[in-house]
Amino acid sequence: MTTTAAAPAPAPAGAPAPAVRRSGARTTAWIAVMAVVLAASVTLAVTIGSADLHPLDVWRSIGDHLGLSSSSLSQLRDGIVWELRLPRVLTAAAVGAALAVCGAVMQTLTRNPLADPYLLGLSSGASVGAVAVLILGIGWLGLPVAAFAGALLALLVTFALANRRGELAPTRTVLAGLAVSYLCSAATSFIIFWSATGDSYREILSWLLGSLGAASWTDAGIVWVAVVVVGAVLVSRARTLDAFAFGDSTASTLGINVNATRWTLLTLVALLTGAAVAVSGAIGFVGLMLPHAVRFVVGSGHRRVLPLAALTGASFMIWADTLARTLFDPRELPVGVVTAFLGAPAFAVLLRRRRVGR
Amino acid sequence: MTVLDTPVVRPLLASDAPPLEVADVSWSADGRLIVDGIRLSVAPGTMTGLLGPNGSGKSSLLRTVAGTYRPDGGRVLLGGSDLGAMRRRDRARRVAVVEQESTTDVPLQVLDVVLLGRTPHRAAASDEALALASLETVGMRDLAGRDWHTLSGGERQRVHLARAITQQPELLLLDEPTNHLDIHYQLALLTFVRSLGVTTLAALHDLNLAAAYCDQVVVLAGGRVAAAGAPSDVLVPDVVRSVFGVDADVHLHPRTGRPVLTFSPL
Repeated sequence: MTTTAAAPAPAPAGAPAPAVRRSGARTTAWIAVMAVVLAASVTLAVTIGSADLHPLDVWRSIGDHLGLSSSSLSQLRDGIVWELRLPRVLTAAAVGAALAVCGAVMQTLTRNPLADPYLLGLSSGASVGAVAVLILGIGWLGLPVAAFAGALLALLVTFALANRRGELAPTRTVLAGLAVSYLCSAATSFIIFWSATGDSYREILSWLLGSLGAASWTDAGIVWVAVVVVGAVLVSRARTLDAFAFGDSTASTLGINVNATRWTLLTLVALLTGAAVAVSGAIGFVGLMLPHAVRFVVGSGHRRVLPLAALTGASFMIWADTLARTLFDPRELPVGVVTAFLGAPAFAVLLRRRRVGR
Repeated sequence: MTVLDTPVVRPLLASDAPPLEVADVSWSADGRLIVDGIRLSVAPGTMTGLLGPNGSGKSSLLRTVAGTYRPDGGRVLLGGSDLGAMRRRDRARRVAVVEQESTTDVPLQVLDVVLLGRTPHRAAASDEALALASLETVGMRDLAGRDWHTLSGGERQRVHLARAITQQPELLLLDEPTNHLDIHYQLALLTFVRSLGVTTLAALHDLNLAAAYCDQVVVLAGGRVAAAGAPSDVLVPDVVRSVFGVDADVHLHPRTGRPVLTFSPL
């Protein structure tokens, strides 16, 4: 290439401006791709593990149980697919989707890129409930119910602390959540320190770090219904969420009832997070990082971000959980450890290559 | 695709732009009266400059007029209808606000920001063309695909103005719109705002810009109106001395005949 003094010719008047990202088509393509990835992930993840399953076995079993087919799948294989693996994989998918969506909305409503679904004290509240069941033997409640109750209680206290003349100011809300989190963590530590014995330590630790080992069809059902219903409401409010980009005051001048929106959407997000925490414990990273990763790719419009975050979160969680149960078979890792090990480096790479959250 | 000939703002003739009437509006924060019974009016399609020292209540008054703050007393009427009694969304279809130094952590393209102006309106296929045309009018069409965070302060301000235009308002509220702008864009922006024919209330720091571009100026001090009227009537040494605490000499602009002020300490 030679260097000449010729400056680039100025664009003639009326020339088309540089291409603006045509996000619509690109987003649709991404959503289609991630939906296929999710279907493939469910199928493959179910086949992985002891017992040699073929991907088709998975669909045969599903078909049989839905009454769509009657195949000659052996009872053992069918049992592994339908009773053992499928509920776990589907729960993982729903939990991953829920956390990613909740994280994205939480980051928007608090205008804090570090916000995650557990921001309002939910995970530590759930932990108190769970530990109370595991150690103090308040077993009649059942762990998920106790965890959900703990999360809800933490949420109420956070709201009560943050509420000022009916307003939930973002910073106040974050700080109130922090206070509640620390209090609940202290309570959890106290109970463990006081009464845990050798064996229960590992069980507790595994729950605290997140585990899908006990997932049942009921769990899958609860989180799926929650994520579909809450997710649909949130997507329907996508433009409202977009309007928060420049803060409360700008949102207000764009016609948003900032306060009512924040109360409603934070409550919805908290309930969805509570459902996820109740069945899986607190799984870190997914809700914090995945929304950022998705925004790198499709920008920050919520109509694009929320569906894509849900699909990506679901697939991500399926594979994290699959690794958690197979990596050191027969021992299981807490899935929260895997999400952090997988996610943090992947995110670091993205961070180096693209610009994020200035 | 060419959008250059798309009409940006519905053609607003001064005759069909509504007048703004601020009637005895007060607003207080934590028991302190910040806006103290302010009464002013802006004639249809004209620009009024809101002047006053720091802390005199300019921004608070703008926010009260915008409905961001709920006034303790008084009413704001646009074309006879009470803005305070309207639903937020209906109000946002009629009033657009450009605030001071409003920014975001979220990764956004310029076009995304401008499209926010359509939030109070029903989504339509023409929204993007409208947003691009608004960008064209503030001279930023070529930057539509740029990352917001790579823009200079002045460019950001122009993008916000484009967003406000995209909102298709009848009343434009501007809080220090010329902050961060170089002299060229200060003049360009105010010339442009005037040419829109939208009823405009703008808080300004620069008395000379106000003198050059406003049809009327309102000087605030301590949350009250200290003086109001045509720039040549209001921007006189007495007023400037008592409100801003500086001495002023008033000259006449050789070409426009509008007042030009030079200042010296008391």
